[in-house]
Amino acid sequence: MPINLVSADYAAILPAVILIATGLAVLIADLFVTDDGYDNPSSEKSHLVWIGVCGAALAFAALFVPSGLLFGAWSENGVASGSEVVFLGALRLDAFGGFAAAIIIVAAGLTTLSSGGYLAAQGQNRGEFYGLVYLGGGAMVLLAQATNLISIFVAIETLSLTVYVLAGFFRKWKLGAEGAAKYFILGAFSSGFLLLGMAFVYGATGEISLAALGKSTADPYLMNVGLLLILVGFGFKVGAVPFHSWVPDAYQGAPATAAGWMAVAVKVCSFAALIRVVVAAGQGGVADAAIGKMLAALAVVTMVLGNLAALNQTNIKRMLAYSGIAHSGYLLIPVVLAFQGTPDPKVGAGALFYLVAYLLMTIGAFTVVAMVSNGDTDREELESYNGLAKRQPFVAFAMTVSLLSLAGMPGTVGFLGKLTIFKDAVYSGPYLYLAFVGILASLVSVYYYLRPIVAMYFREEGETIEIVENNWGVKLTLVLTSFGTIALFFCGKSVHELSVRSIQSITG
Amino acid sequence: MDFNPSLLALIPILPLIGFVLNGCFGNRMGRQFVSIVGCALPITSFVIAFRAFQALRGSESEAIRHTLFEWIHVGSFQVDMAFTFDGLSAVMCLVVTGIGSLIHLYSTGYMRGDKSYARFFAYLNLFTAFMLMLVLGDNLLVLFVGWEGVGLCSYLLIGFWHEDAANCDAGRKAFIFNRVGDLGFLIGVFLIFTLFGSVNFAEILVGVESISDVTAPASSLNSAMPMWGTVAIGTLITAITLCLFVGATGKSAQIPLFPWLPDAMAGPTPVSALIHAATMVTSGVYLCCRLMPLFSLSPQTLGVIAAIGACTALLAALIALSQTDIKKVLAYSTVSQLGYMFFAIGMGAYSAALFHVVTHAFFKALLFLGSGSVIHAMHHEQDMRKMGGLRRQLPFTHLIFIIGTLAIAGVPFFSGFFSKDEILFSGFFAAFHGHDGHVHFQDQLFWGMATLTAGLTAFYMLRMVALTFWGKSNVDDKLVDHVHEPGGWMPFSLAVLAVLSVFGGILNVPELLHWLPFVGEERTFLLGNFTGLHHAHTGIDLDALHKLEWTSLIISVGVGATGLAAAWYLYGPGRALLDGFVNGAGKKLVRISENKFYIDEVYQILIVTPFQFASYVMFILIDRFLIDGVMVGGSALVVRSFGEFFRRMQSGFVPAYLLTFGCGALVLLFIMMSLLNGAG
Repeated sequence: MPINLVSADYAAILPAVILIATGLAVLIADLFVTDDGYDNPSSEKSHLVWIGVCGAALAFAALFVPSGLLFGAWSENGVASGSEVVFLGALRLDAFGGFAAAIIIVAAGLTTLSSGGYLAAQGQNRGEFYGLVYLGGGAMVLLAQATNLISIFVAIETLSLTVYVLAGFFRKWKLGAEGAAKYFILGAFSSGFLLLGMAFVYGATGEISLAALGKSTADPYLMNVGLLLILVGFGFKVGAVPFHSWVPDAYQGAPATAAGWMAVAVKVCSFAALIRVVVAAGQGGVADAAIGKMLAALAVVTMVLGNLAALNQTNIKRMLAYSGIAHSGYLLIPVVLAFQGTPDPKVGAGALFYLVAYLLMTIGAFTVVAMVSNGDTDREELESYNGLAKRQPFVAFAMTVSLLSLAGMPGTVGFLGKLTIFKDAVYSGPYLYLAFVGILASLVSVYYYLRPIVAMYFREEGETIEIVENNWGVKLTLVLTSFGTIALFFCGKSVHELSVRSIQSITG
Repeated sequence: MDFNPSLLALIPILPLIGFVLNGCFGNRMGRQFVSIVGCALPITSFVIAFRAFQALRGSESEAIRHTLFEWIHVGSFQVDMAFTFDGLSAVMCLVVTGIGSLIHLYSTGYMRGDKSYARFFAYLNLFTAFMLMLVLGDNLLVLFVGWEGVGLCSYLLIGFWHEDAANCDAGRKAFIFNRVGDLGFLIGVFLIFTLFGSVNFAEILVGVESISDVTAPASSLNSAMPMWGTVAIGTLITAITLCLFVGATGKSAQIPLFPWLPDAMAGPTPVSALIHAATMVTSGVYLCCRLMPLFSLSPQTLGVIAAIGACTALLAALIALSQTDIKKVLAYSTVSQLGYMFFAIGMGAYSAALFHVVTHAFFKALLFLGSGSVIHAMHHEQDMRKMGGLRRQLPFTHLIFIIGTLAIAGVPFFSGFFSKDEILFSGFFAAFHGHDGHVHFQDQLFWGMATLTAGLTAFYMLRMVALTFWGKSNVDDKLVDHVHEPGGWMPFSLAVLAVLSVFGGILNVPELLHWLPFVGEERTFLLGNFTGLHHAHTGIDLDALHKLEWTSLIISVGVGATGLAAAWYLYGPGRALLDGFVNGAGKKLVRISENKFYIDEVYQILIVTPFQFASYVMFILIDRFLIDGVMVGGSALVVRSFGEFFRRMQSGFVPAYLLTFGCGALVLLFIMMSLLNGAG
């Protein structure tokens, strides 16, 4: 079948293309000799950072050009933007994809900003890092827009390959290689589930489009089982219990900034695709209510176990990893509600808004982890944070803001995010209990989020802490994330409205 | 005279501003600033209150009202932060701001050397603000805020010198005793709300009228409270008034909640004068007067109040006989005089009670400030056995004491004479004529106790003067040369209060004595008529009434004179006789009085020890074991052990991870399939 590309097709893939081109540009730029000599991994390589940040800015701008992904939702006040099926139904040009893409692109930019100094201090500043971030970023943006089973699977596999490599980027470090290998093996395992589920769905409907999920079928049993298997595959990607085992090992072994990137970007695009799947399945009416119950069960188990397991962690990366698992649990609540369509179809907006909050606070926290570790992987233990506030008040402040936001304290955007999600759950009726579990779980989480804060402010400094200092990128990242975390608490309304309009573009 | 009602709010707010200024900036701004702010604002309040008083007197309306803001509005329950300035409030307000201002001025001298000068004035201003809120409140809740607020300030000021643990204990004692009373008060307020559906005084009184008017339908009562249908309204009103009276016994130091007041003398002397004599302790009396129609509906409650008042008056007077601390004598005297006021309320003589509040505020503030001058001169020595003969060094203070003593003893034409005589006459009337034509034995008993108290009062007061100022000096040699009269504003305050103590009686001269100079027929019962509390005795013709009045007057003056004469003789020429009695026949009696009838010990055994035991058991069982151990420790242990469990499950082996993954997926599938089959 010949493909006639129209302007909408170009507009739809423009951000992804820019990201992939940026990735290639960084790889090429890294080949040239710099002041520090050829490919010196201890150099900061500011030019690569610059190229990456400019690429991210360009991709971000591409969302807002006329006929761009977010243009409609952004400019037309309160009206659900028009959406177009492009590339024969493989992708869709809509604000929902655009909103997710925006978070991914910002995450890519912030990761690039914070990585230069950190990787150089580790002696591991190679151009591939940025290349992998942007190539993977392109695939993630495409996943957020993907609307048929094939494009979803291809995008997932593409982005997975890049994060497997990023997880083992410190290749000489045993933990890094080990984490990456585990991630890879389990990823392959989960891809099997995902693929099998897709095959079942295809078998039941004979179509690969997500829209087919809603159509009546000769074999609803097969389709429901297929849907469940797809959910298992996504459950792995977002780190939902019991498919979470890879998360702590992979995060611990990964470079700190890459761990932040993995936590945020992978979660954003996976949840975007997951919401597309459940909304399509839920609106069709063929999918059984049992799917919703399974999702709710996953949410409960993930929230509870993620938070409980985080309690006793002494390594800050592992703690943040479990915290990430717990946040996947919170994020599953709007997914359940979006599947059920209660109390109204817009509830999925809670997930989008929460992901914005999650982006700011998680990148902020991992950036501080990167600064403190400063080339020494032993400095990721909790004791390394003792007395940090005395020597580095700003860094300690940024960490405090991020952790308080993760804990959902008022005054930070994390509070608004949790509030939105729990409020929707309370009004949903049958899933009221998710709000209760979520609130109890986040109550428990306060304990482990406060531990680093106590260490930073109330403990005596054990050894002199040297951190990645005088690196503009790292500092700028912390300023942006702390400012954003606090500012969005006070003016999060516009972002929330944008998220509502975005979700309307897929729920109608 | 025009008076802007919104100025009413300023009366309590100005001292509150003083509190904020002195509390926040006092220490930095210096004593001059503190003194000016601390005194000027209450004085301004006094001026405003006086103008409001003039406006009220000149106008036809019963009260000036001002609503500051809507405070609570929940369903049908609405309470405003509103103030009412009627006759009763006006009297209390003028006493609080007037005497309060004088005591503020006095304090600038008395507290001169104290390192916490600013804190003292901040507390004193805060107290004034709360006290004004109490007397101006338009409803029971505003009154309650003031009620609790003055309790707090009392606590803070009793323990003002908190370096000494005994002072803090005294503060706590006051606070705890008051808490007991406050509980009764609160229950009373709740009951009032259930009965009347409002806590607003005006609305409560409307409800009371509909009860006393039996022909009217009880529509203004809260019909939404069917559970009261089975309880007779009379019983309920008795319960309400008794609960409120429990509150009053706490604040106004009556049996059984009086022992905190003598201990409260641990505070600085101006505090004792302002809070523990002139104003705060009379708020119980104020409460009864404020809700007079309600109390009048329950003869049972009035009987209880009369009994408690008479017993307190006598008991405190008996204890005061043997006290050696100058302030303790005055403290017990205050308890005793407060007993008089409640006795008057019990007899239905509200205006006499209020009148005694006013005159007592004059002469007791005078006596306390006078004792402050003595203590000041003696470098904080309060034991009268180490004084004596101070008349020569402190002639002015001696004069002050004489005036105060004559006033409190009820010597004719001093202020105390008029108020005390009115109270004793109301008792006499009930005892020997009867309100309803019947004479009751208990009324005669109460009158006898009150009259005996009058004699004892005269005795212990003159004893105090004699021990302090007369006879030979027992003053420490080191101190003797430093004893001096107070300076600054202190004599001014004393002089003003002395004038008031002498002439204050003119406020409410009985009709019997209308021929006195400056009085005249039309100026009798000024206070009672102004506040609307005065009730003429009915069912008796004027001549018979006058006969009774004269009898009562002669008896009370005679008893008082006997007391004075006895004290003058026994502590002067007849000292040997007294010593013989104290060391001989009366030894045990004196011991009982000295030990305050062992009330503290009885409370210790009956209440404190069991309570401490119960608290200890609760502490071990509930706090340590149940809350700390099982709930806090237990939940933390459970959560942490779960956490540890999951940490260990994360073994690090890929096959284990795969197993978890696979099993999880299988369980999901299994449940899903069974759900689908069940649905199909």
